[in-house]
Amino acid sequence: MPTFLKVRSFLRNLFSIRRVEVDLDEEVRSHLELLTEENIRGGMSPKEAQRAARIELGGIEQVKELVREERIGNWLHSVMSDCHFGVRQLRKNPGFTAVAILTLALGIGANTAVFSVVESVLLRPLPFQDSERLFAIWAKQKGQADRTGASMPEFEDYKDQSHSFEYMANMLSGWTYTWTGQGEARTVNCTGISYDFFPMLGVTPYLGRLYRPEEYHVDGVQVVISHRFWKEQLGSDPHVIGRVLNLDGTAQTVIGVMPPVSDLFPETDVWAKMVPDFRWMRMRGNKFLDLVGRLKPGVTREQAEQELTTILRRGPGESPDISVHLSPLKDELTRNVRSQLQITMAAVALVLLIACANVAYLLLARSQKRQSEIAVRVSLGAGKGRLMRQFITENLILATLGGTTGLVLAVGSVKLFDRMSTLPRSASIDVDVSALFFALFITVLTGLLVALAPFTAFSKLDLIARMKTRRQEAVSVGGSRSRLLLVSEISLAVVLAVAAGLLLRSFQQAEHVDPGFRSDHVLATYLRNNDSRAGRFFFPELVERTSQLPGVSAAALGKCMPGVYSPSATLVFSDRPNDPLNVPIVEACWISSDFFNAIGARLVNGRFFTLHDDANAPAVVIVNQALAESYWPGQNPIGMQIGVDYVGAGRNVTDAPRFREVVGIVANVKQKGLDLPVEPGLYTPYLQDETNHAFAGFNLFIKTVGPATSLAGTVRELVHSLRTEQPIDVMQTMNDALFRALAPRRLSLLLVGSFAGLALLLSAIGIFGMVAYAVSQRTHEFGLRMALGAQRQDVLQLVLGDGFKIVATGVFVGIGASLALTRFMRSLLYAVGPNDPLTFAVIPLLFALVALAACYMPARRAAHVDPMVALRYE
Amino acid sequence: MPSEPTTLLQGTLDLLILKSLVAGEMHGLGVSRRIQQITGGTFVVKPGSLFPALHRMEEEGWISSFWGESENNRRAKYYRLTRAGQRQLEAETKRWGRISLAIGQALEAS
Repeated sequence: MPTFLKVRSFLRNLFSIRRVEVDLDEEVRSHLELLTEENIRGGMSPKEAQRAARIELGGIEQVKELVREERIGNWLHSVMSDCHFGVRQLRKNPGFTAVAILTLALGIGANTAVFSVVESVLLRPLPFQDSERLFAIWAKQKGQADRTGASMPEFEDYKDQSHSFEYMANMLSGWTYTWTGQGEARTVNCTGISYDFFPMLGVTPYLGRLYRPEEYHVDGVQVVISHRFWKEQLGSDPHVIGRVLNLDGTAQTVIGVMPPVSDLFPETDVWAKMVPDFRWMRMRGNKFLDLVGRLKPGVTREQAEQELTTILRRGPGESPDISVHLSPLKDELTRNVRSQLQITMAAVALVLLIACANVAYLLLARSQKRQSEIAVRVSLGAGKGRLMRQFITENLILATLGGTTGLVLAVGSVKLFDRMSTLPRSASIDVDVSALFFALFITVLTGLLVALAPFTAFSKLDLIARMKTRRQEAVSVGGSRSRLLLVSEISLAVVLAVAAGLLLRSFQQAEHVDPGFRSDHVLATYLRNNDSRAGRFFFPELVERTSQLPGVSAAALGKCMPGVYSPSATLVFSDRPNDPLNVPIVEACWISSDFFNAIGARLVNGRFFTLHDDANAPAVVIVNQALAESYWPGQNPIGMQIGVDYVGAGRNVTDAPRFREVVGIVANVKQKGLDLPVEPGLYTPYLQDETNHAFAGFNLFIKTVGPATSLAGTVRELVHSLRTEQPIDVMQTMNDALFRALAPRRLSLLLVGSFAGLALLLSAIGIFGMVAYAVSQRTHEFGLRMALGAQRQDVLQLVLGDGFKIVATGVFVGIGASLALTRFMRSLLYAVGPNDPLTFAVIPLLFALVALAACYMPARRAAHVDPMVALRYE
Repeated sequence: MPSEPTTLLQGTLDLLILKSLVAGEMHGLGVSRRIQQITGGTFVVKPGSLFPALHRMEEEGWISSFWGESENNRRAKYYRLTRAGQRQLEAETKRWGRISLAIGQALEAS
C-alpha cells in the first residue's frame, strides 16, 4: 500500500522529525566510518583514510540537507521554518508586535463586526419562498414628499386587473387589541393581513390553521396568534387551539399559531384579519394599507410598475400625476437604516485602511533596521522569491494574530450591539460563516498589503553599499514611500473626522434647535382604549381628575407625541378653489384644552382651546405658523374656515370634510421628530371628534412641578381607579421618549464618531512613530548642527516643521476628498450642509493640535541632544 | 542541476539501486559499490545523490530499511527490496528496454 506508506512517512516527517533526523545523522556518520575503514583496508594511513572519506562524502550537513529536500512534506517544513523565523522576529520586538497586532485587531475586528451587522440586516435574503420576487407596492403623487399606501378599493382593482403577480396581499400593522380576562388587562399588538399574505411568503401554520377566505368578512370570532405570543404569553400551551381569548371585549377562538417570522413585524402578537367590508375600508381616498406582492417569474419590476400605474390612474377621481412604485421587500424593511449602515461600513473600511497604512509604516521603519540582515541573506543566495515568501509569511502571521484577536473583539461587540440595537431584522444578527470568511479575506488582504511596503523597499536595496557600511541611513523616513503612507493615512482620518463632525453637528442641531415645546417635567403615557364609545366618557374625566392631582400644573390629552409622531389630515379651503386631485396633507392632532400649556408651546395669535370647545360648540381649529405662512402668506388667518379630514385607518363616518374656524396660531412645534423640519400642522379639540375614532387611545401629558417620574405611581392608580381593565403600555418622561426617538441618530454618531476617534488615534501614533524614528536616525546630524552653533529652538523647529509638512499635506488632501465625498451622507445630516464651514474649519485645527502633540515629544528629545554624545554616536 | 539529464539520471539511478538490491540486503556504501561493480565502473554514485534517492525510494515503499551490523561489527543502516520494489524493478526494466531500443534505432537510422 504505497499511499499508506506515503501518509505514514509524511506524518513521521511531521511529528517525529527529531527521530528521523537522528536516524539520518547516524546513517551518514556510519557511512563515513565505513568509507574510512574501506580506505584503511585499501592501504591508507588512518588520517589519510579519514580525509579521503570526507572528500568522497562531500560534507555531512550538505548530504543531510539534500536528503531533507527529498522528503515528503518538505514544503511544509520550509513554511514552518519561515513561521518560526517570523515568530522569532516578532518576539524580538515586543513593542512593535503589540502595537501592530492591536492596530490590526481593531481594524479587522471593527470591520468584521460591522460586516456581520450589514450582512444580517441588509444582505441576507429574507427567509421566504422566492423572496427575491417579493416587492412592497406604494404610490407617489408628483410633487409630494410622502408616499402613500393603497385603499381597499384600489387593492381590489389591482388584484382584479393586474397579471403581473402570483400573489398580492394587504396588511396593516401597529394597532392593538385589549386582552382581558387574564389578570391585568394587556395590550396585544396586531398586524392585520389579507388571505394571500402567508401563502405568498410560503409560510404555513406552526399549529392549527389560517383563516378561510369567507372568514375574512366577519370581524373577530377566530384568531391566529404569533409564535412569540404563544410562547411568552400563553406559556407554549400545547392545547392552545380552541382556547378562547377575550380581545376588545369579544370572545375569539384561537385557530392557529404561526411560526416565528422575525424579519416581518417582530412585535406582532396577533395576526388579525383585514375585513374588507368595513365602511372606512370601502373609501377610495383612505389610502393606509401596505401592499406586498410576489411577481410572476419573468415579469420585471418596471413592467409591474407600469401596469399598476395604469390601473391606479383609471380609478375614479385619481390624479394623472400619481404613479405606483415597487421596491424589494427586503430593502423596504431596512429602508430607514440603509444609509446609516452604509456610511458605517464605509467609515470602518477607512479605519482598516488607516490601520494597514500604520502597520505598513511600522514595518517599513523596522525594515530599515533589518537591511544588513537582508543584505547578508541575499548575498548568501536567498532568491527574491524566497525573500518575498518570507516577508509574506511574517506579515501573514502578524495579520493572523491581529485577525484572531479582531474576531474575538467582533463577536463581543456584535453581542453588545445586538443588545442595544433597534435595527430591523436584528433578531438574526450574528457573526456567521460569511462573516468568518470576510474576516479571513480581509486578514489575508491586510497581510499582503502590509508586506508590500517593506518588500518594495528591499527589492531596490543596494547590496554592496549595505554590506560596506554599518551606519543606518534614514532613507525611508524622509523617503517618498513612507511620506505617501502617512499622508494617505492622515487624509483618510480627516475624511472620517469630517464625517463624524458633520454627524455631531447634526445631532447637536437636532437636540438644541428650539423644538417649539418644552419636554422637561412632562410625564407621558399612552392609554389605548379600543372602545371609543367608552373612551368618550373615560378620557374627559381622566384629564379632569389628573389636573387636580397635587404636584400637577397641567394635564392634557393628545393624539400625537411632539418630537416623535403625528397623525395627518387633508385640507380644504373655503377662500379659494380646491384642486380635488392635489389635496394638501398636513400634520394634525386631536388635543384637549390644556395641551399647549402641558407641553409648553407658545401662542402667537388668537386663543388656545378651552373646555367650552366641545361637541356642541362651533367647530374650531388652531394652526401652526408654518401652515399660516404657507397658505396665507402675509395675512391673518384668524377667522378663516378650513375643512379638515383626518387620514387613517379609523376615518369612519363621512367623506365630506368638516369646516372649522381658525381661532389661534401656535408657534411651530416639531411634531414628527427633532431632526425633521417643521411642517404645516393643525390642532383640533378632541371633544369635537364626531366620529369618536380619536377616543380609541390618547397620550396623557402631565406637566409636573417636581420631577416628572415622581407622579408615575399616583397616575397609574388614578387610571385604574377610573377603569380597572385599562392597560398602561408605556409611562415615560417626555425627555425619555425624545431620547429614544433620536436613538438611530445617536447610534450612527456613536459608531462613526468612535471610528473617527480610532482613526485619529492611529494617525497620531503614526506621526509620533515617524518623527521619533526620524529623530533617532538624525541624532548624529543634530549633534553636528548644534556643535556648529544651532540653537535648541532651531532643532525643535526643524523637527516640528518636518512633521507639520506631512500633516499639512494629509489634511489638505483629506479636506479635498471630504468636500467630494460628504454629499453622499446628506440623508443623515440635519440642519447642516455637507460642506458645513464650521466642521471644515475645526477638523484641520484638531489635526494640527494632535500632530503638534505627537511631534512635540520626539522634537524635544532632539532639541536636548548633547552634541558631544551625538557626535560620538557610532 | 539542469533539468533534463536529471530526470533521466534519476530514473537510471533508481533502476540501478533496485537492481543492486536484488543481490540481497545491503547498506548505503554497499549499494554504491555494487552499482560501481555491475556497471563496470561507469557509474560512481556519490553520497549526495545516493542518500536522497534511498530515502525517497523508501518513502515510495520500494525499499525498506533496518539497522544492522556491518562485516566489521559496525552499526549500519541496511536496505532491502520490498515486493513493490520488485514490481517497480520489473516495470522499470521493461521501460528501460523500450527506451534503449528506441534510442538505439534512432541513432542507427541514417
